[in-house]
This record gives sequence, C-alpha cells and structure tokens, in this order.
Amino acid sequence: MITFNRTYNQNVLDNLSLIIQQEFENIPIRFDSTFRGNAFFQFIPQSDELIELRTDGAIREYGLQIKYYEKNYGLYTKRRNLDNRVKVIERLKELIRINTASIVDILFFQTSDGKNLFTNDGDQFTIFRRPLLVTSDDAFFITSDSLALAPKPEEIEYDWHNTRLESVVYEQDEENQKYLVGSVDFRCVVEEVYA
Amino acid sequence: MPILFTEVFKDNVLDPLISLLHTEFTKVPVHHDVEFKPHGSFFLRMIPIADNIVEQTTEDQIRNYGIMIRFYRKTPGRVDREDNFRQLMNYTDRLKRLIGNNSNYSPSSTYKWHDGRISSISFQPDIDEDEAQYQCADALFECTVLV
Repeated sequence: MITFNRTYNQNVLDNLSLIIQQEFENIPIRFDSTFRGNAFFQFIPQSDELIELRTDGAIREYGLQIKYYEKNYGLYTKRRNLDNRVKVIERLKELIRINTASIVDILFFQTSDGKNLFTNDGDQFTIFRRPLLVTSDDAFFITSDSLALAPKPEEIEYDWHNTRLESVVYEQDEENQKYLVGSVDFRCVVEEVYA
Repeated sequence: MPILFTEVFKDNVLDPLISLLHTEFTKVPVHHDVEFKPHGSFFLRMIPIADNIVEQTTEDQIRNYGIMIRFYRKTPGRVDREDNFRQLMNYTDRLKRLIGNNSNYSPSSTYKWHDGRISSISFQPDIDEDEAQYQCADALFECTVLV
C-alpha cells in the first residue's frame, strides 16, 4: 500500500470540526440527517477539484456544505425563527474569515521548564496571534525567575488557505419541515506536496 | 485492406489504469457495466467519458482521455454516517496519490500517458435508485496521451 496524506479528513474535516466545536460548544456536528435536538450542524462533503497539477504535488479545492438546523416552533416570526439562524451563520462566516489562512490552535506561553504562564488573577494566559517576544536589544523575554518564555506549540502546521463561505441560503428543510435551515457552501484550498 | 492503428484508449489508458488500480487496491474488483449492476460489498466501476483532441500536428496528436471511476461501498448503517464518509475519503485520497505518483506513466519504459490526474471528485454524484444501496463517489481520471 502506498503512503498518502489523508487530506480531506485531516486538513479539512478535522480542522473545520475543531474550530466549529470550539466556537459553538453546545451545537453538535453530524454527518447524517438524523433529526435530533433543537439545533445541530450537518456536514455534507461535496467535492474535491484539482486546481493545479505539479510534478511533486497538487493544489486542490475542497467543497463541503454546512447546514445549520434549528427546530421550528409555533408560528413563524422573524424574531423567533430567523434572527438566531442569521446570527449563527454570521458568526460562522466570521469564524471562517479569521481562519482563512490556517488553523491557529490556541497558543500558550510556557516557561523553559514546561510551566504555563498565569496572570496575577490566576487566569491562564493564551494568545491568538503568534507574537515575537524580544527585548529592545534582541534578548529573550525572561520571567522574573530567569526562565525563557516561549509560545507553545513551537510550529504552526499548514492546513489550508483561501478558506471561505461562498453562499448562504435560508430555507425550511424539505425532508423534515419541523426544522429551519441555514445552509452555507464552504470552500478551502490545500496545497499538497508528495514526499 | 484495413489500415493499421493502435487501440490507444485500451492500450494506453484503460488497461494500464486497471492494472495500476489492481496493484494498489488488490482486493477491489473493477467492473465496466454500462448499466449499474451490484457486485458485492465494494467495487469500482469504470465509465469512459471523454477522448478529446488537444493538439494536432501533421504527424501526431495529443489527446486528453477521461474515465469516471465510481466507488461503490456497502456500509454498515447509514451511508452518510461520519465514519463512512471518512473511510470513503481515505480511499479517494489514496487514489489521488496513486495517480499522482504515476502522473507520467511509463511502466517498463513503455510510454502510456502523461499528466495523469484525478481532476475532480464528487461525494454526492447523481445515482440511480438501485445504486442508492451503496455509498458512491465519482473520481474523474484524466490523462494526456501523445498518439
């Protein structure tokens, strides 16, 4: 058996699931259309298209439909039946926008003996953008007990780029009219290098 | 007296592709039915779909060939379960790499094709009612042959 990269699973699905689960903690992600609960996301893998063929790899675009289902109660009103769906989809759009180039797992500051940095009020110190920590004379940033401070993990792995939500549709589900749907077309590009 | 010709589609594309698939997916049968017929729990169906001229000169031609490789998998439970999708994606990623590794294919120094690629994969292909018992995905294999 040849060795191959599980690109769709690892670069696309795992990362997309990770950022959505981190952001929408209480909304489960499903792949099947089992209607259960008040709200859930459904991932429907769609496509995998070649953009550019190279001698030692390829650039491909992956497509996935993300459907957000919300239970439809009582008489349809904008406030009760549309506003929350719009809010979730807009939040999802922004989540994808800020992760357009790659997934940045939450970074932690750790001292050189592996201890996490806490603020004075006991909160763990986390960062969302990788900073460059040097003093004005290019020396390492050192804690009061003389330990070097570094962000962990040390390297960010490449996952995808040009990630976007292309189109949004708000509708009632045809199969189960008890549910309202906000459906988005997720696309991302992955550059794969054959080792 | 009939002219002499080479069966390019068969000799350069279809047969080498099947042989390549057999080396990697050793236990997966490959079928060629025009109309769908069920063949066990996991099989591939080859559907020739394109043979287009790219460039013609006085002495030779460059042609682009296309074969749709349709995966059929009978899966436990619903076909749209997460595990089932993830397994199917591993198969398509493996196929992509197999073709990628053999993009310029000349087994035993005999030229077969160049620019071999899986140009698109659809995880929601148009299928008949009979095919719906299987989890299906379409992978479009394309290659260029200097005839």
